[in-house]
Amino acid sequence: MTFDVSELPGRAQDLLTAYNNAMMEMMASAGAYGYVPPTDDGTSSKILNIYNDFLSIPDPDQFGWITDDLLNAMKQVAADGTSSSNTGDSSITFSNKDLDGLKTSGDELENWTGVAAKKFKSDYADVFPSMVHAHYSSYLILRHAVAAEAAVWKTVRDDLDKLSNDAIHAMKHVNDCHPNWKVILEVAGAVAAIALALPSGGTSLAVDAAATASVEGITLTAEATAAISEGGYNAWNAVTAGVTVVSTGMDVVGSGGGKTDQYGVDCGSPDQIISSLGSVLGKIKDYIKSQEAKIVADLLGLLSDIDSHKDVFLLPVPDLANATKSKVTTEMGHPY
Amino acid sequence: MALHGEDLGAELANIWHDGKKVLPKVADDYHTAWLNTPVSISGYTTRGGGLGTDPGPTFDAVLNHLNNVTSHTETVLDGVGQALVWTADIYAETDASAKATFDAQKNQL
Repeated sequence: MTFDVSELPGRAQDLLTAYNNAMMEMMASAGAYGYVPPTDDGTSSKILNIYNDFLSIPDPDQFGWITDDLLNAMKQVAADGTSSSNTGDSSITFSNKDLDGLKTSGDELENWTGVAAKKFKSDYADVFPSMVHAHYSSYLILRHAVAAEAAVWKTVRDDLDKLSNDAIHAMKHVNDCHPNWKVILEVAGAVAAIALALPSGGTSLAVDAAATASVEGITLTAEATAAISEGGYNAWNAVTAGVTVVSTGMDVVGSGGGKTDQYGVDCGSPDQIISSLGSVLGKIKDYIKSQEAKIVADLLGLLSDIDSHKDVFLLPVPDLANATKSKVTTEMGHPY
Repeated sequence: MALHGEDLGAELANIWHDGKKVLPKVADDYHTAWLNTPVSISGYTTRGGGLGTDPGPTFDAVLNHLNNVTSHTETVLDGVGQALVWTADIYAETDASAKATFDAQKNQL
């Protein structure tokens, strides 16, 4: 269960209360009793609204059904040779043997004389395994992108939970806080996304095995590399580590090795706390922008690959698929 | 030389099996993949202002592609399967010996 951001207005109210108390204590310690919170300098409304930009944000707990469904789809198009060792996804532990049948069917038609029968074999059945790999890769990339998106918002919510509590704590102890006290956030430690690559496409579906083996963060066995090559997979640059999203059950790791960045909330005065809180919230916004930009870049890369390899992703309809009963024997010819 | 008699019957049984059993199964798998591919997930990525660009439309574009290719593949495989069944049935009627073998093997498949 991730942090419920509907708690933020209450925490902003608690922060304002702590701010006013801290100001009164400071005035009292200086001999100026009877401090009245200012009503016209905007400080109160600034504090009360400080989390407003985060009150309507994605809920990572809502992404679980999406990654579950996409996994179910992936299993349907998991061709021979697909396993957790060459997909990087421990959820995939088998291949769908049904898919082998199409190749067999294509071979059956090899001895038929009809043009449509032969073209089905050469233009569809023989290319089908490559197409299945392309479909699988697309699902793999998309699923990781969804998990990365969920991880971004889990990180954000975790940080908001910690930050909003720590700000109140800092405000309550503004007059005795340790100068080195810092709020440690997960911000920007980061969830890089996916950068899975698609089959290289085209008629050759050649794979750069060297590139495959050198993918950052992934150590592939020789068998896995061979399987990927045979299957037409290019490298997949799995980036995970650090953030596990409960709803998706997937680890998403940043290329930085899951490190977190630390931001200090300066507790020198109540106003400094508010100022530095605003600054850290700005860091969180920057984090959201940078991480989602990576996710979108990966998805756009996928769409670009799809556009440039339509012949692999979406095979043309074979004539045999549109044959009529009265003309089907012409399309098929005769076996010999 | 074109097949005749029992050889033709056996070949037709194989073709019938591919058209009736094998290709529809793969088509069904693609249908399942299609059923498990959401139409849209952008409703889950919306946020208030000032928090970057919503990636939802880009997610949906990929989903649209996957819905198209899975549906397209299912349709193609069903069409080819139907053509193979027709072929087997029509040819079997042209050769009594082939039909006997065809019917016998078909019943075993």
